Amino acid sequence: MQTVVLDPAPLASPASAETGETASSPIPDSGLAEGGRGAKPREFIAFRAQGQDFCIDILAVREIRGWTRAAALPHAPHYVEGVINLRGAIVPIFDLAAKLGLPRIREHDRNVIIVTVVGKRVVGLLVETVTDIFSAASDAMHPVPDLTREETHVALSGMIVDSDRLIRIVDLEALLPSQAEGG
Amino acid sequence: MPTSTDLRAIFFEEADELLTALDEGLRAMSEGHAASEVINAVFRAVHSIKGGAAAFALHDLVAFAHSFESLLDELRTGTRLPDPDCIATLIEAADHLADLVTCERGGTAADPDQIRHALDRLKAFGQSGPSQIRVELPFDPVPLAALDPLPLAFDALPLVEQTAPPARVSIRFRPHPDALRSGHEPALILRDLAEIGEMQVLLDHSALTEAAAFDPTSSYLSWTITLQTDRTEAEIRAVFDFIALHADIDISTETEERPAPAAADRMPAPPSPPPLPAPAAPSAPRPVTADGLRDAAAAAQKATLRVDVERVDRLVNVAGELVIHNAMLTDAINRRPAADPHEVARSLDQLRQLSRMIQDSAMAIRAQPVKPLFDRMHRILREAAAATGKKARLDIVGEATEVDRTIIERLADPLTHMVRNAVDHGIELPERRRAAGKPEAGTVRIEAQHRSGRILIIVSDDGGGIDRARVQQIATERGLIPPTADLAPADVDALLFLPGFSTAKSVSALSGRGVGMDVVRSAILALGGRIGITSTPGEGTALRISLPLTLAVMDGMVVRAGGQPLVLPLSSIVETLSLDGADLHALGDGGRLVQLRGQCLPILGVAAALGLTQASVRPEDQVIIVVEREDKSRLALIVDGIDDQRQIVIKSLDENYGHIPGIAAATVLGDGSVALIIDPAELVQARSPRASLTAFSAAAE
Amino acid sequence: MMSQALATPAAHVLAVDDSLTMRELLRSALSEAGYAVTLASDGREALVRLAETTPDLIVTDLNMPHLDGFGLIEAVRSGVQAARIPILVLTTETGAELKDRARRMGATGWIGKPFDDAALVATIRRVLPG
Repeated sequence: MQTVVLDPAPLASPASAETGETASSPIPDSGLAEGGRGAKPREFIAFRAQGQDFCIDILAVREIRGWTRAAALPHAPHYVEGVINLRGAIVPIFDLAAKLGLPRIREHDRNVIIVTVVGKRVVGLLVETVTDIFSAASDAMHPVPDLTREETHVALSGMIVDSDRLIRIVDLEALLPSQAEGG
Repeated sequence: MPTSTDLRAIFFEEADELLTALDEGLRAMSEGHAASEVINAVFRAVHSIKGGAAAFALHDLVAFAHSFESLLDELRTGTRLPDPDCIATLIEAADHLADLVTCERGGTAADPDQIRHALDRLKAFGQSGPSQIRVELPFDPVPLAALDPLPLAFDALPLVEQTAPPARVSIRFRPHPDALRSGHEPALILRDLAEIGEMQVLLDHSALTEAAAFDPTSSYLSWTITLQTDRTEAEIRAVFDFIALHADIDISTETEERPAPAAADRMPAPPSPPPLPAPAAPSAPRPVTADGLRDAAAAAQKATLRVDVERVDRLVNVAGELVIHNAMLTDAINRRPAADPHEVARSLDQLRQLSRMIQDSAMAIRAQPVKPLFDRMHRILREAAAATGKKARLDIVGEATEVDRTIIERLADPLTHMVRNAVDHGIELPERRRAAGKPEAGTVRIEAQHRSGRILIIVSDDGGGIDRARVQQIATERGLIPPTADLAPADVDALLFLPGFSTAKSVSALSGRGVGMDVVRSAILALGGRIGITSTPGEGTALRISLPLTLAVMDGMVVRAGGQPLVLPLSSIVETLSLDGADLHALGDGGRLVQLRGQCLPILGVAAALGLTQASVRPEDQVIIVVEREDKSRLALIVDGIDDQRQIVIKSLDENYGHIPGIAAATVLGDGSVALIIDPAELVQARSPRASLTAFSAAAE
Repeated sequence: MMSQALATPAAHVLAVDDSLTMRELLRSALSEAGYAVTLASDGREALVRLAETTPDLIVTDLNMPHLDGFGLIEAVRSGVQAARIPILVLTTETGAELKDRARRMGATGWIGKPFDDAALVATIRRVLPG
């Protein structure tokens, strides 16, 4: 049999090709990004949900996009908004505020979705607004006080005090429901 | 042009095939078929793996394949007989070789202890043999050095240290009459000599015969060459190494104090090793750098597909037609005056057909026979039998059946588990089988076949069948069923699939890898498949798996429920009818039945079953969709309306989220929004996991 | 690539090996060096190719199913059309006896496995006029 050897990636759906792509850069440049080049500090993207400031490591962010109505998922935890179509891939959207025990973020055109990569998974975080990008050295990070609620404690990996702001570092891994069943 | 990572991927692809061939050959040998072509095929498989591995500098693999090959060579040359001991060693070696390939592919280092152990065993066996073909030095642990052509050693030293004064070398070169018939071209040798020094040539054509007797394929000429060169005699001789068997070559050096004798000692006689093209480019394996390793690791992630060229051609042809058709359609639409709407409609219809053909062709590219997957089960079975002290053989039927590559890949784990299970829990110990009047060796059979657009895979054994009393007892202990449950045999069997059934007690050393049949079941469900089990006490157990041929596309009906679009697989739909005027009956507390042509079907509201918010739709506007499950039982689903019937592209939910009971996957609709694809069989269980087991088998009657 | 300078333009090589990996390695190295390449997976297929076309050189593995390298050499040398064509055999370090046997049967030279692209091309140039 005469055969040819193909790389199956281009044969697969555009969705899976999309997933293989490394972080593109449609991230708004706040000018602060240049901050800590060369030194040890990590860069974070800061955003707001239910009046509180949060951040995640910028390396986990793939893109930021406008609000899209999500299809509801059956039997999902209360903080799961549903799934959206991200250029052919089905991406679940989590309501960060709801996960932290705050009221759910109300559907609003001005809300944004931060698309992040957690392990092999692509997931979206529904937030009210992205505020800025900043860098912080590891000594600027503090543990989450024990007084906080269990839900909060679990979903945050630390806090950063930046001048007058208290920015909570979201633990993306903890945010995801465990992939107990199926794939 | 292929890059080295492409080539590497090809190597691993081929290695898999060779390992399969190796397994097949060894299996034939163990069954007493030791014909020379079988042994040769086995030898070639190992030899080719070694060759490829050497090209990619996979040292562990080369070293082991080399020892393996040596033992096989003894079989091939008849100096050793393929007795059961020998074959057992070979089978073990083949397993280890497969493990090494897996390690190299994944870029992970194999356990050095294990490598040494396997090598030692192989060598110990080789030395224990009745006779050996060659008494070799113990095998070099860095085999690639041994693979280097010899002259490397020559060049490295003399070239640097010997800037000897140019010497005058006299060479008499007389090709034998048959030299030209071996493809030699004396002129090329003269050319090569000219490159290493100043040359004078004297042609002797005295041997030329008359024209009548002249044979153009024979050689009549000889040369006397005087060469002014700083090269050693060995290097000069290397120019002649190819022709050495077919020519007389006398070399004499005319210098006084040249250390030629040393060189001559080193290079006593032809055949001499090949010369090197340039010191900068020795024919050593490519150096392994950290970057190289990283590339290799990256390459390991990249899968390739070997496809029959015909299938690619078909796809390309249809794609070409599509382009042409597209132009025609555009033209028809843009034409002034506008084209006949019927013409456009017809054209659109053709376009749809072409799309379908492209899709079919594209699917055919991804389709692969199940053979390699099934063949891997021989080893699984062998190991399982060894671990449990049982005797078992594997029967494979329908290995040429083709199915989407992704399905094959994702079937590997469940299938492995099922085969292990069949040996561990199905096949009885030899004594017991004998007592039951069965042959000592049990049979596990894997069968694949196409059936109505799906693939059916059956894993069966001729063991003792499911011990239903014990299963029921375990399920009761685990609280999976009430102690008073009165279950039909099929329902007892189905308990095996319940999460949490797999018990510590039933877990042996073998199946104790934390995998129960529930995991097998979810893996199959995640593939859009179904699994069922049947068992006859004393006769055996069969697991039947039905899978879609492809994971990519299916025909679906787009419906509305709970205010959002959902998709039902068309293949499961029997009929649709309006709820208004249907023959409905209440059943107990809130349950409902619909009577349809003498059959009573349970009714299930899709929105409620999925926990979605009920939309305010008047009951008389709702629609009943009758679906049929794998086990032929039927169910009436209520939805708020039917939107469309179309082909949908299946998108995985598992990839980024996880499995949702009752949902098979998702798709993207024309407007870009997401719709979930309902899995009718699971829908029921999502609502009430336990009741469903009995409720619906009763309803199916 | 340096090897391009060495290549005989459009010289045609028939490469014969039962291993897909080796075939692809040969194809890659040879076409990179500017040779036209025809592949065959064993001696039998090589003879079919030889009936269709006359290459300038044959590079062949020795141990192959159906018709091995020796059989191929014998067949080529006993024919008329391609009788004088240079044949290089692919051998490993353990194959000294095989190599000599191949040479006695009419192989022109050999290429040690594993080969490196430059060495392959340089070896070919030793036996290919042009």
